[in-house]
Amino acid sequence: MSETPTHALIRQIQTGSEEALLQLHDEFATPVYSVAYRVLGNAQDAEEVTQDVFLKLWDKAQSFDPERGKFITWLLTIARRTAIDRLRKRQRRDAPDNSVSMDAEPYLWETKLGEEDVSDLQRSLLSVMDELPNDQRNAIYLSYFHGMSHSDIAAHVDKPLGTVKSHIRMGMQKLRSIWIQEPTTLNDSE
Amino acid sequence: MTLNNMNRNDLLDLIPAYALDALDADEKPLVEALLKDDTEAQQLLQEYQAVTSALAFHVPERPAPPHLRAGLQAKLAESRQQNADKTITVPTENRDTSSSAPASPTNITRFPTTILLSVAAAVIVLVIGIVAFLNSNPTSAPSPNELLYNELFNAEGTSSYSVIPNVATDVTGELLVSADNSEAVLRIASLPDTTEEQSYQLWLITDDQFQSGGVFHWPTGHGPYFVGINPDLVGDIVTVGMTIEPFDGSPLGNEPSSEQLFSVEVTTAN
Repeated sequence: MSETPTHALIRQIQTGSEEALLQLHDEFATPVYSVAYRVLGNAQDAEEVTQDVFLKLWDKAQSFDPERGKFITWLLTIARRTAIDRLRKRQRRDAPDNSVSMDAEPYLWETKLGEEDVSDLQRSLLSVMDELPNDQRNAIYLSYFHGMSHSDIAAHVDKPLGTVKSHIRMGMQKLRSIWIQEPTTLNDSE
Repeated sequence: MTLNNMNRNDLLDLIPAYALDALDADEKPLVEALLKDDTEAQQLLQEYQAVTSALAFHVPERPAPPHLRAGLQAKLAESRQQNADKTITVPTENRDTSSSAPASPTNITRFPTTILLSVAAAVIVLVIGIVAFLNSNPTSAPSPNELLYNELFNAEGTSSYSVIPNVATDVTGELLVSADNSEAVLRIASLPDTTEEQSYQLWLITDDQFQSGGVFHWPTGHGPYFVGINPDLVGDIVTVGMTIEPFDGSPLGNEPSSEQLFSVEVTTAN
């Protein structure tokens, strides 16, 4: 696999180039911030998470393996996990009444992040996501972006646990059916 | 159905939720036990993980606030300063500038307190040992030039000029010049290493005249190093450069005897 500009910058970060880190920040701060904002729901927390993510990148750049997938996917996974960690800390700190920052209504999925970063297959997956029934989409969303377990979701949406499990399973099965049709293109390089 | 009477198919049904990390604490070990030896389960998990990796793109785009970049730069500068606090400057004779040890990306890792304390204890022991060995007076505080760099970095009106490496080097850094042209400091890193008989010599070029900005003996080329610029020359400098010279500096006097490692053109601020 030939080295992409992004991979070259990551290699420079591994040798201590702050300039390379700042260049990656210029390119990827918006998707990272967008994911963090989606999880946390406010600008201040999202900003702090964005900064933490790039400091983690500075510290852990060597752990990125281009053979295993796209850099943006790896980075957004770090962003989501960092944001969820922060959300959980906030929930432990806040009063129970404030522990859930979003409502239980169906979420708006129509706007997508960085279309140029999304492969054709990913775009297909996201398109199917739009077509999922609201209950299924919501359950997946609450789990993925808010770190909720089955039980958390059931309590949050006030539905039986078994129903929530079914929503997640059925929604994910539909998404997987897209992936198994054309799995090789999901991890194409930048 | 209870956890105790779950069969293999029930557990396979939980894999989508496992990939999302949506399982409750009592369900997770059951699925993980299945995943240990069941290849079909492992394959399913791989497919569902591929699916979840796409979900992060399904969010509304929000432009990152522009000030985040400056915040990151400040954090990196803070990390360098903390790194300098922990390291020893090897004293050199008649040098008007000083150095700091290399900044490692690992310096900004947040470790658990116990590990941090252990590392801190090890660093203290190491420092004491080195001090005894060198019989010198190590500096634990950031060098004046690093402090000046941080001050200029955060000051309004400071101009920043990028280091342009020679094609044969990977030098990085920048020259910061205060708004009133009264102070300047150069940060450089990733220089080629020198031998014990060599030195780094800074050159300040004003109207085609070379002036030595100092001769430095740094333990490695890694850096970053912070070099103060003679305040009397700050307003007149056109280019800043550096060469590797014999231990006492260029044998040609006020002229480099080797190729420049990099140049900084003080013409257009970045």
